[in-house]
Amino acid sequence: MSPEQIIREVKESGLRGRGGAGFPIGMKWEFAARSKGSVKYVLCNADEGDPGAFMDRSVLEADPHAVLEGMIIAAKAIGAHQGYIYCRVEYPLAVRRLNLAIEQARNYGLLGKDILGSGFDFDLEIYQGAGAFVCGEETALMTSIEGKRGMPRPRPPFPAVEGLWRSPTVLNNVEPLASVPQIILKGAKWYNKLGTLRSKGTKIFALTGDIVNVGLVEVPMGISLGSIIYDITGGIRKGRRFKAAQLGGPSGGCIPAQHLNASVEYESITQLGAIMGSGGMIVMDEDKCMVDVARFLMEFCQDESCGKCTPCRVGTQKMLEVLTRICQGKGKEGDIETLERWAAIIQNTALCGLGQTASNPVLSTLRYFRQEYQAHIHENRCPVVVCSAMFKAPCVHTCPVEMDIPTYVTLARLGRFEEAYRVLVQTNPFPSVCGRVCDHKCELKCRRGTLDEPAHIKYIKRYITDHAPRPRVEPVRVTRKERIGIVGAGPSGLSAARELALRGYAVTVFEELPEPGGMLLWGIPEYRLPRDVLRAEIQSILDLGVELHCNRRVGRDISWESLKKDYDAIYLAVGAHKSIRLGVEGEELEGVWGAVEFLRKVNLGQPPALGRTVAVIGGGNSAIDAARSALRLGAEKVLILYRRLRVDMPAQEEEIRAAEEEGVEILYLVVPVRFLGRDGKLGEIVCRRMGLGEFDSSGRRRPIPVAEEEFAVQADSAIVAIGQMPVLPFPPGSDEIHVTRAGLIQPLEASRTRASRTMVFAGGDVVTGPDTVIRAIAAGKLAAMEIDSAIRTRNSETPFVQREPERFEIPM
Amino acid sequence: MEDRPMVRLTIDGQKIEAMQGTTILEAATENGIRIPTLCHHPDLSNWGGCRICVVEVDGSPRLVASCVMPVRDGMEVVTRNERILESRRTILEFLLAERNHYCMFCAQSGDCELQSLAYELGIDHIRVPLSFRMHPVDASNPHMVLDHNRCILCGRCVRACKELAGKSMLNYQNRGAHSLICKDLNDSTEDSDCDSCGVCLQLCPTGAIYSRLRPHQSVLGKKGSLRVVETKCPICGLLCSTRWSLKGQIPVRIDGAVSTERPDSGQLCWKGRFKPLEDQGERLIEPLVRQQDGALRPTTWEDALERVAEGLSTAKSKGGVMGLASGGCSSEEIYLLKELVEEGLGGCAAVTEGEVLVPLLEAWREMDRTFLGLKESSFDRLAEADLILFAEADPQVTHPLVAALAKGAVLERKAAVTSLGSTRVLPSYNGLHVSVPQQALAVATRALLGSALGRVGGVDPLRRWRRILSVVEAFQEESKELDRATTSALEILAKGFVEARSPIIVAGEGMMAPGDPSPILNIMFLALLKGLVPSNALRLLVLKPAGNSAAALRLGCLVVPRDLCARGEGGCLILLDGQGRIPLGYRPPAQFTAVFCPFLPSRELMDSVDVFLPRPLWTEQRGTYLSVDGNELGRVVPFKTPPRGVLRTWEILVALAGRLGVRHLPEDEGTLMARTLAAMNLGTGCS
Repeated sequence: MSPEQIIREVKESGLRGRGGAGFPIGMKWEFAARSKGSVKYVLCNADEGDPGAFMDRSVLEADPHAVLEGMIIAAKAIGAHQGYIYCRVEYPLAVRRLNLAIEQARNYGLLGKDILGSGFDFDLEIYQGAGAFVCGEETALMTSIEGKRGMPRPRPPFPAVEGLWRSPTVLNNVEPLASVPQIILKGAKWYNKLGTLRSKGTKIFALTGDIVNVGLVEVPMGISLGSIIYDITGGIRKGRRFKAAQLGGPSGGCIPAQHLNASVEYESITQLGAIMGSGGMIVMDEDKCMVDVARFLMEFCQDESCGKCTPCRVGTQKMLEVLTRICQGKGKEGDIETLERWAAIIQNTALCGLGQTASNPVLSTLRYFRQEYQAHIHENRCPVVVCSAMFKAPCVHTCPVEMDIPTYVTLARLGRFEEAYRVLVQTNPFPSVCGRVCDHKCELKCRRGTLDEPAHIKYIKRYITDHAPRPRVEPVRVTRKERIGIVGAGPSGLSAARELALRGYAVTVFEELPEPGGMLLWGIPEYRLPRDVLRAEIQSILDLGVELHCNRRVGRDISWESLKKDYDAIYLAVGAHKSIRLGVEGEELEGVWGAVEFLRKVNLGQPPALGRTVAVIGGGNSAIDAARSALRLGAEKVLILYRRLRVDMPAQEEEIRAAEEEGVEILYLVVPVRFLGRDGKLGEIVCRRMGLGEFDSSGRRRPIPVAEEEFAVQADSAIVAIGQMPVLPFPPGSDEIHVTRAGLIQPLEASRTRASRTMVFAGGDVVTGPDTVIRAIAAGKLAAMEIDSAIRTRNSETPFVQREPERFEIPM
Repeated sequence: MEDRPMVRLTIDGQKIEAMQGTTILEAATENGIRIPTLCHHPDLSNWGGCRICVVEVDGSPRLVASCVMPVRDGMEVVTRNERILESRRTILEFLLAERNHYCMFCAQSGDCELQSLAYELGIDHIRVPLSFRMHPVDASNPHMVLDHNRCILCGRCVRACKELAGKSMLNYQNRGAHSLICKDLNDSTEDSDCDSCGVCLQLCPTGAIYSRLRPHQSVLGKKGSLRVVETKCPICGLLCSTRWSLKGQIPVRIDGAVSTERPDSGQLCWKGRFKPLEDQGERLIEPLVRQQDGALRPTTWEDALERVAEGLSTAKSKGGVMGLASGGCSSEEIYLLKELVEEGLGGCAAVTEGEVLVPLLEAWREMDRTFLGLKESSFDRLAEADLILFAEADPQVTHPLVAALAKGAVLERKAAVTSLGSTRVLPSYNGLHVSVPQQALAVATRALLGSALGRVGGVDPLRRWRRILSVVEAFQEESKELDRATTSALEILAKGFVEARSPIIVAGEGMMAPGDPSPILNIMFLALLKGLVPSNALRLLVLKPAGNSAAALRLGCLVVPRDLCARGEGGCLILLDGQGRIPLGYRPPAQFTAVFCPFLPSRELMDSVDVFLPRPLWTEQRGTYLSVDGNELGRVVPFKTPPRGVLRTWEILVALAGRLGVRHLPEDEGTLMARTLAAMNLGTGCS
């Protein structure tokens, strides 16, 4: 083949470089071939410096001849007679095998003078780089081969015109060079059969991180990111959720769960803010703090900056300082904007690829995980509990009310349960409730869990409350003239009431139902939460002097206007007590229940007649509660119909397991299409089978109908447990309270609980939608604090000073 | 360059043409469009590091550094818009925040490119948090300080040291945020090979490298009010072009006329750059005359001149008059002294370093017998030589620029440096040194010449060079004085010299032992072996002891007969420049001595002198100086006014001559200069 034919073949194959831009190899060769000059060079970039990337290494160690052949072909194409392989010194085995291969090639006459009698001379040698990341940049690599300090030089002139020792030079990565011989051998068509329109062939990825199987994979271009992670590598370790994948090394960017469908090709990856690069892929699960990841990658970049240009040398240093500060909980208002401004300037003014891409990790994490940065800065909180400078223990930081877990666990270990109980009630008015029904996120982050199993914090709490006497509660004297009205006696409303009462306010709670407790009483079945335990805890709150009016619904028994007149501040904690409807045909039939309504009736002691077969639709905790309650009411057969897979179920794992053990049958990948009745009464549910399609924004695969045919499930009753929404106690538009489309209250911009300028606050399920008990408690406490501070601000008073918490001496 | 095609482009809406291959910055500057820069310097290679000069090309979001981006046909360049200015400002803030730039504590405040740029870009406060890192300060050198706290790592010094000074002893160390400028292998300036040429200091845009001698001068005001004067530096005789910055009468800094076109790139040596800034003592501003009681007291010029005239005329009648001048005095002064003393008073005049020059003169006479009209090579030739042989020279001390050119030749062109004599010249650059004690130089040079002659081959020229052969023939008996090691080393030296393509010999004053011209003569013959360089010059440069020694040589003003001093009678008239001293042999011979000197004399001198007359410095009066190789004439136009009461030397000498009844001396400066030139056998047209 003539040089022109080689170049044409490589161009046709669509082979692209592994640099940030993915420059077509054939075009690069063509430029170099056209450049004038008798001395030209072919270089191979084997300075694989990305953390966690080892594609080149494995090619060099396993098949060094492929690379040599690629280089010889490249040399022939451009008319070079000397080549260098720039290999990092950390790859001694690769260097040894390359040397061996070069020796063999020379012996066979594939290198040296007059190769195979063709009259073409080419020889190459290995240049060992000292492992500086910047020497992966082409001009720095050449400067390094020239024996100088590895610093990039400005382009143009481009290496194809003026490269190594100012001669035309072609520099390619190991991977494309190793592909060249096969392309020449089998033709361009064979190669570009695979891949997409603009990205041809295959790509090797070095997969590391939180996946089941780490290692190298070679995939055709155009495959989706999700299928690499879930289908090829076996998904995320320990059953955690996928959070993001860092592509293209430290100068690439991260791709979050909502883009798992992205196809792996140069353009679409660049569009998402990452780069293909050499193919390093670090997969991160939900336990990775993206601010910390950005900080780590920035540290790498600033460490590897050569120091030649100001934006990269100082800019990365300054960005690292800001990121470090944020990770230490010392972030400041405006830090995010500063980072964005600097990142753009560094990107646009830096000399070489290293500097231009150094801010990519920050930009891409800011693009997809801005709220994590905000939580660090505004709430002094690391949402995934990684940045340890911000907390005493990960479990404490995970708990929404920041219970002092280490202290009470230690006190429990020492058998000092009374004191442990006192620790519990310092932060949590419902410790015994939480000891039973909390979703215990703290255990997920328990340090012990990294060793074997986490400490069972939830059950320790329950044990304390079960075995120690309740701390005595004395009424608190009302010291303040302001009166606070609270709507809803659920965990959120009562927690707020307790907190406000402790601060000396006169608090009145209005409850629509005959007994306080909210969802704790009317939603959670008794078998999970014994009523005496619940009532005792509520009584402790009322004992502080909180006034409670049951059977009083605001908007029905008391007008919204009079409530506002009588109270200085109102806290809306009405929860979400209305089931969301499926919206399918036949939902109005007798025997079709909403989960909330059904559970309320059960807890009121007026259970409806369900019949023999009960179908529950949904996969959350309410669905399980409804199913298990139905069993207890005597149903012979209880079915759960869920449209996804078990791993996707939001219900707690232990609850699902309990339900299964009690005989509840769960049908996965099934969705009801209509309810069919007989005489106005439910008879059967027509369902359709689902399959899993692409990934949705939560990173779970979206259920899609796989078959047209439908099947019927016989059922006497159906309980729809697919979500709840609040019933608001005020007419729409009151007090300019912003209500979202889902019917939830949206707090004002600068606050987390304040709903209007007129001292109306809201929290709990009415703001978040159905959520956990502990988050409702946290919302109540937060609302109390914000109400108090709003009142004090209005009165120009000094802020409230929390009483020093009781201290416990614990011998080491 | 001239035939490169032109390209058309637009800069800020202005349509301009530029030669292909020029950068955007150059094209913009040529057309009066200012783009601020920091790391860029027109006399250094393009670097593209600081990124201050970024501009927008064709509306692309990625900005390019205009100092390295070549122009392209149809390019649309925008040099100023809010985005570009914001980028520049941020980059500048990064620089200001990176290290400790506290202008109020910086010697360079007011004369700092970083500071001016901050003013230009309107930086009134820094939004980037400061780093507050401590960086080392290297103050080990008596002339310069390297303060890393103020360094912006623009690399100008690194490039200047390599490209202008040719020494490459500055470079970067560490990486990224930890980068520092370092000397050699991270040595302090004193321990490193730095010879304090100061070109790094001259090009440093900030106060990172600053002069120790005038750090306080910034209090005198901003750069704009400085007076800048170009002048030749006559200190060692290389007549480098210098640029003096003066605030009123006080020199604040001295720079080299940096240019890539000169063979020496316009670098200076520590003598030219720092010496005039050093404190040299208190100026003598009025004549001092020894009174009856033996004490020196100030007096009027009238009185002092009267006294000198009286003393000299008495001396003339008694034992004769001798005149002495430092070799750093201008040609006019030496000429006038000679005229006055020799023609007018029948005495004898010489320069203080004259004895060293006598053997050189004798050698030249010897040379002229066979080869008429040869002269020394210009020192510029060093920039082309591939072998430099130092013969008993110590250029690092006497002529640092010659040493610098030799280092550059080694590093940049792989030239070889060899030496012969008592000290090893430029130890880290020297390929071969043959140690020869001063008394054996004659033998050694003869051996060298003999060895070289044997290698040159070719019989015919040898016959013509009878003189050379006679020298070599006489050698056989004397060669026993050299040990075998030296002999064989000399063989290697000779081999290298003969095989070199374009060698040059640099001889020091040690080659000229009083009374023995043979070492320097041998060296001259050795140089002759490799043929001449253009304009009939030998491949030889003789480093003479003082700045204007070459003129003294021309004027024949070299030595006074020993008996004149020994008699201990008569009178003596002495001209001293700033550095001059009276050599031991001459002191204190006379009954009457009058000294012209610019500074208050030392106690020693004070005791033996009858009259002191103030003299202006070379910067304060007109003067002509002949370069060390005798090829170049440098004129110094005064750019400082002498202190009140100090009169120009030539006026005083003429007035003195009048009092002594000597009438033939020139009456005005023009005639004086013409006659001096004539006496030196140089036309006014001499370069």
